[in-house]
Amino acid sequence: MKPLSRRAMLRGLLGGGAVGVGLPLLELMLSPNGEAHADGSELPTRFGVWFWGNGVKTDRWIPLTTGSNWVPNENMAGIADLVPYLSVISGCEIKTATHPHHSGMTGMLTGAPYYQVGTTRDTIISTFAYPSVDQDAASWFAGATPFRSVEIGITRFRGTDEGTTFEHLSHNGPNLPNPSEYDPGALYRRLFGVSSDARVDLVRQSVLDVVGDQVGRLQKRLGATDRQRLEQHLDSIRQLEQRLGSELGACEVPATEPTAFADVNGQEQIEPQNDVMSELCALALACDLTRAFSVQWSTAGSGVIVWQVGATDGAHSNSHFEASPQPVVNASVTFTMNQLGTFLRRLRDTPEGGGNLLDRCSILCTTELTDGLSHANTDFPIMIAGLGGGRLRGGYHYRSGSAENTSKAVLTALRGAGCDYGSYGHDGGYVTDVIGSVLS
Amino acid sequence: MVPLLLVAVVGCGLGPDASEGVVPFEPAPARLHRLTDAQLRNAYVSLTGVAWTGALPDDYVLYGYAAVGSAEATLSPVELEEVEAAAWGVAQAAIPDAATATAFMGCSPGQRVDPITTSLETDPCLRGFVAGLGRRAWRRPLAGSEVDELAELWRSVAGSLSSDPTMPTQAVLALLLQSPDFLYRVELGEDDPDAPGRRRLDGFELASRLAFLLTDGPPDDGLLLAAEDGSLLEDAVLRHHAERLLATDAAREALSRFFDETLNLAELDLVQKDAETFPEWTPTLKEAMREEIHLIVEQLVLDEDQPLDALFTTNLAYVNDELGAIYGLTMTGSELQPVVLPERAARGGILGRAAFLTIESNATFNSPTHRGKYVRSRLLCQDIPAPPPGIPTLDAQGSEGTLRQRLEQHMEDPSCNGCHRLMDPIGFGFEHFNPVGRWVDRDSGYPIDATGELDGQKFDGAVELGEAIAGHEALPGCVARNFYRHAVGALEGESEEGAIEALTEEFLEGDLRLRSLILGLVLSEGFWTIDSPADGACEVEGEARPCATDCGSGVEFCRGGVWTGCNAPAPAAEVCDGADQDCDGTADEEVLRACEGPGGPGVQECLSAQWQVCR
Repeated sequence: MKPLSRRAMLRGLLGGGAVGVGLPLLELMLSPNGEAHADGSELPTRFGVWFWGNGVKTDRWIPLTTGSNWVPNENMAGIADLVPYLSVISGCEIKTATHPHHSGMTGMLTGAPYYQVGTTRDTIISTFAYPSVDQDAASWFAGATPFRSVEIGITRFRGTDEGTTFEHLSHNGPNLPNPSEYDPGALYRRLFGVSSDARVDLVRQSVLDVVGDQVGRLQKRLGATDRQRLEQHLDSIRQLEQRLGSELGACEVPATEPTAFADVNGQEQIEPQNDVMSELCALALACDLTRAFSVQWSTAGSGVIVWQVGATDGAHSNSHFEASPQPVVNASVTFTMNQLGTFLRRLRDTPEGGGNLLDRCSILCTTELTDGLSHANTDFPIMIAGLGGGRLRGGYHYRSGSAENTSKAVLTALRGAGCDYGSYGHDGGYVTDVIGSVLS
Repeated sequence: MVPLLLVAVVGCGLGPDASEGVVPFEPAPARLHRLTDAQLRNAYVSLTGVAWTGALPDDYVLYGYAAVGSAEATLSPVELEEVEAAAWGVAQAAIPDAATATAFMGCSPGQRVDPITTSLETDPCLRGFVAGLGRRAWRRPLAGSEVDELAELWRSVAGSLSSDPTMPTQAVLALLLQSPDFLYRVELGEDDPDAPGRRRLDGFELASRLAFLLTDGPPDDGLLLAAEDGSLLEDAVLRHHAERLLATDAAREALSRFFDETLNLAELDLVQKDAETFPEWTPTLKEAMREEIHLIVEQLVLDEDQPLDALFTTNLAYVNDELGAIYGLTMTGSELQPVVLPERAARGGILGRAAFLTIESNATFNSPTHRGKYVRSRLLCQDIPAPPPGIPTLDAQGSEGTLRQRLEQHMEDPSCNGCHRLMDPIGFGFEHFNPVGRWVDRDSGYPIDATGELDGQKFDGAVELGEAIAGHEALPGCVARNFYRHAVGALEGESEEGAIEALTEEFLEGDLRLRSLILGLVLSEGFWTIDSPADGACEVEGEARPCATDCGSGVEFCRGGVWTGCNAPAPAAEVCDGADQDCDGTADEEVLRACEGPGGPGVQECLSAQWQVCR
């Protein structure tokens, strides 16, 4: 039987209408060994970031063994089944650390110092000086999918006055954040909503075209900072135009749109939210709507109350106030690792080709400092989840004995997704080397 | 981000330094301001009557105000989609069918013109519609080429779909609402004829800035007309329109929003309280707390025009059953009612209301540091500098006593108390109020000590603290500073300190009434001047602009991206000729030369073109 491409299948189904559907990979579309598309092109790999705030307690997080088949410590005992898909990189250090939280966030996600916007109260206001690593991957994959990238948020606490570093994960540059979506219904509509009238989409494109011209004309009359802001505006217009013009739109998904989860007895419904968002993310990847994504489970310095483990105050507050050995802080980390587990299992349990989605992902899992109490940036907790289409060996704990640059781990994660950049980071965070042990 | 108590600080000082006005006034940099959420929604209603209830980009709050963040905000892909969806949603709701489209346009293109000589683009009906709607949407007249572009869109949509005017008309409206001239306040300015080298907002830009400041909405026809005939640039006319706008309902909402931001009310949506310790903390209680502040501000400031310091001493409260219970009052029903708090409530002014007390505390226990920090930084504009990097935090071991007593132990540490002595003693004044604003007699079983001191003024409890704040000499200037920052939409620069001082003077002369603050600001040069888009840098090759030196004015040109070649007369060194070469107002000053006098080599001075005796 003649192998089908995803688009060909679609056109056939809908009689040539202008509405497109991105479908999960069907067996018919695969080469006989299931490891490539039938037309010989490689199956896609994806890059992601899964982030939680406020660090860990290293004595209960760092795996008990090094090398292959690492034995989880207390925090990750609940995700032992995922060890084959998870590599841990410990012992590295943020080389650009100057300020608690801010340095770690930007050090991990841009491999560079932060850009200081100003000061407030007794701390600073900062933003990312460079695009974040998920956007590096998005640039690498640009044009392949309808969505350049997808940003998802789980717990809703957001800092209010320390700048975008404390509010957003994904950035396109200084003060150019890509806000995460916290509402599952809104995410569903954005990813899977189909316009009912193809003619309207044509007109929408024409309008966007004219708007782009207008923005371009205005740009010429402005100063450098405003020109950059409008450049982002133009970029956003182009992305929407491209999506309208492509034949990929909705995906075959459950018909019911999810709704947001209201607090119950004043308690944030974190687990149902994580369940639904993990499912939506898996679908978005399976339908090839994007190959670059980020999940901000909690923000840098997050004040999320993990009531499920008995916390009565925000995570950041607990990290500073709870008496040693900080049992609630530790229990919150375990809870967070289990949340990561839920997400990863959703990817693992989504079949693709001859394997599953997680086989073809490389997901950087990390936080913005090592330990919330000490604000340390040494022995940084980093993981890479997924097998990167064969590029990542999985199940390996690499422990640096020489306080290597954390940027090496990030570059490794990028390479794991096939984003073959020669370097990552800037200034003190600049590297060209990777952690070879976790690559195949 | 630093938790209370725990950061060692070196050299804690209070700023900003009061400038003596020695730095000459220079306005804030010119920037695009992205319309805020409220402004976009109001603009949709103003233009079409349609109230958009869908998502819009979040406001970016910076230095306390969305107006400041709006000068930095852009449109990420997700945000652009929201704005595009809103534009089409509004357009489709405003123009659902052909009949409405024709009514919306006010005419039918193609009628009453010669179909042979008139193309659709030149059709006066179409062009008139586009120009009229465009002027209101973009808050300025459209250039001919802009009308062309919009008419061309109408024509191409009409041509490719059908003769039904619905889609083409929707498309024009949707386009107008996605244009940068709608989404941003564009402020490029024009040269100020009264001050060469300085730029001022043009009439339309000023109309927009005034309208969005006072009403969070676009300028109405009256303002646009005053912009058009230039009269808005006159003080009397500007004042007239400002007063007119202040009387509207929209102004009440917009000004109420300014107070919301100044009081950090949005944090009510972020703060979390432990459900077991505070079962009374419900979404409805939260809304009551928020609404109480609105109602107090509206009554005292907007309706009764009381001096702003009255906010810190008033005993007015607005309560319903839930909120009343917090204040120890028995009320029925969920509607908020005004009450005069009895003396025993001992709450003082607006800071003694549940909203502030709830926001500036933790999930299970108070935060005198946060409460004191708010007063210092937001009400007295005395900022506490960031701690040096790399300072480890202290272990907050629980010990005996009240929270105050435990904090005081930490304040004995010289590396901490430098800054904490500026914050905690203020916060202690509120110690009788727990994290949801309820009065408590004791803390952990110990009696509460709510005494403190604010810059030499001792107080005991919230009432006296409120009075100390109301009487603090830094309060008027800080309120003026906050409003200036919000109105100009930028963090004030050193060169604007003089303008803020002058505004504070007007505010004081107006007995701290909001009107005097608003009108003082609107009529000040800080409000209607802007800096050039980029210092020294220019965009349009060959463009000319006025320039000036001490000796006169001239014109300079944009060459290779920079302004060069100012042909104004340049100051030169003084020569002994009676003329003022360096244009400082005096001639021949400090002109000396060597000479040979009767007693040997010396120096002689020039005075009024004459060389004096050789010394």
